[in-house]
Amino acid sequence: MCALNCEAKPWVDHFGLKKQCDKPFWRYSKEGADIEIVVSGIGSLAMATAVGWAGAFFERPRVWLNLGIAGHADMMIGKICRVHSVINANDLRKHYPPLTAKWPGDSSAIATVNAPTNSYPQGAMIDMESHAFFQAASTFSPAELVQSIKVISDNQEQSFEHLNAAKITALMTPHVAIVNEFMQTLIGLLPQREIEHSWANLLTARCTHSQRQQLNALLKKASVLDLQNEVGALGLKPSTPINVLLERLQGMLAKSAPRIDRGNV
Amino acid sequence: MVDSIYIESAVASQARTQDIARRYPKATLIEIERYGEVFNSHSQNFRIQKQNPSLILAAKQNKKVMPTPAQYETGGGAHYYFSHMLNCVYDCRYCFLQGMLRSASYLVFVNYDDFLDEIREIAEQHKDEAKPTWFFSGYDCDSLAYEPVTGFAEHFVPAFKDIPNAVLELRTKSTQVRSLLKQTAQDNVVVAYSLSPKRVAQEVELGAPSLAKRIEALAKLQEHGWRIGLRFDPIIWHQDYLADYAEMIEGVFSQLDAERIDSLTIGGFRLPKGFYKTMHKLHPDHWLFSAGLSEQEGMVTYSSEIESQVLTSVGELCEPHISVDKIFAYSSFEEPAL
Ligand code: SF4
Repeated sequence: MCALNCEAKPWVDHFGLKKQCDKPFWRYSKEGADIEIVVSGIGSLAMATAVGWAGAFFERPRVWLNLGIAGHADMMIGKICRVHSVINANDLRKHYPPLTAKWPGDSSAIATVNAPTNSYPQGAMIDMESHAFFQAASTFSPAELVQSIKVISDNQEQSFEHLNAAKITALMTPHVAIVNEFMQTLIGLLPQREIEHSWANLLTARCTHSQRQQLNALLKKASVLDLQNEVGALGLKPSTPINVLLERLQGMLAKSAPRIDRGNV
Repeated sequence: MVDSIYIESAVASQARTQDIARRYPKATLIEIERYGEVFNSHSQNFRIQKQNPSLILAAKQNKKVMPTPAQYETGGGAHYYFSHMLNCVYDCRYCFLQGMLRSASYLVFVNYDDFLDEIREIAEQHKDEAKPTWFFSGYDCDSLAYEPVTGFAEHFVPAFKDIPNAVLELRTKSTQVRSLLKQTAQDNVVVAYSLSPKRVAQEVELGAPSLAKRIEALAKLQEHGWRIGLRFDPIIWHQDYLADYAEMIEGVFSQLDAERIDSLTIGGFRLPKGFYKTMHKLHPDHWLFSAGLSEQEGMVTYSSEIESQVLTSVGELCEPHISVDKIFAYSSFEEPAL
């Protein structure tokens, strides 16, 4: 998630992404790629709305990374920093993104403000979107997978007024590799997929929604315990009355002691 | 290796905080107001965090010492527990902390002396009772696993010398016993080891020392004069569990002096329903959460048949080796079985 197209450009180019739409937000992706970039526009409201919009495309948790520029009183322009805490300057609410994924560079606090300013807080970066980004994206994914990386674009010596799109892209470009590596680390943390089982046909049995959930849960347990033969021996069919299906599966599971030498941790 | 340390501003300048932080010279230090801002925040995933936990150094406010749940009792007088730390460097699949806490960060309460003040006060309230008052550590963490960093036992054990009507029980799976072996054994300290058969330990007690190493540590402690306890809890039901537990029990009693074992407890796998649900979601692929469990009155346990079978049979395996009055079996369904 970026606020500006010029912040996103180095990654759009690197991954060869194509613009899919520009309303309500710019969205870049490409067939078969597992990355997409959404450009929200400036400010908290725009960022929160864009995250909500992008989040609706996927059911499963994903990695959410906010990339953008930030100001800092005395950090060098061009320096890259991970956000380790964020404060909303309006209501002083704080958030500490869990720092589970290793990041090889520096990290810093950030304050999110409403409007561009030349008054820099002590010991923290400053931007206009981070807090909203964290709040919104954490509703779609575990907080460990929601991270923000900032590149310093202005400081007390050189205010934000000197910036333009080309300069911003030039500030972001040297950091493509380190950010990509970080994204890979984050992807490595994604929780595993749901347990699959091979008895989907039984789920077509006539039953209520909650009975189907129970049946599915029992079949998943049977799959985890490697009970293919035992389930097969029960001779269950989709036409078997649901109460019988559930009872037989429960009875079989209750007696099936796990084998622990299968290395199935 | 910890790479981020959150420090409450109120304890930032304390010597213990600084000593602990110094052990991780490369870590990022982040000052916070209250540990809850980090530890209890929403949307955290325990399993993801367990891959690289952070450290939080804080002060424990309010009550620090609590009465224990019944299954912790081993025949003493009043029983209490306290936790100088929440979370653990090991990763046991059955650990209820995964179901109880949102974060896997190691939260260390550095105000040890406040804990000791409360322990002294409680011991004082029980001073006229015939039996000593027990204080358990290792309920929300492993008592010794993080010892080189926290210096917990090094601080608390000597302090119990001056509380004669109190017993400190350190529950652990750790072999970090150097600090205990450096000091003279104390009558009112018991080191209690949770033990599981070799194959169970390998499969579900991830990161913890092997059974052989734990027995070795127990033997050294016993030889040094420390009181020791054995905890076969939770017993994990599986195919061949009887053979596995028999092998473990033989091994334990061939290397330890049963006469000088303080107590032996046996308990089945049991969890509050809410914890079980969270843990199953974190590990949907693990057999532990799919085998033989059922829900009764808000608790998820082995069915009563399985539980009584495992408790009785493991109890019977112990009986030839140790006096029956030292065995305490905790059933989820009835009063102690032995
Ligand atoms: S040793 Fe105890 S506290 Fe640590 S993970 Fe295992 S069960 Fe949990």
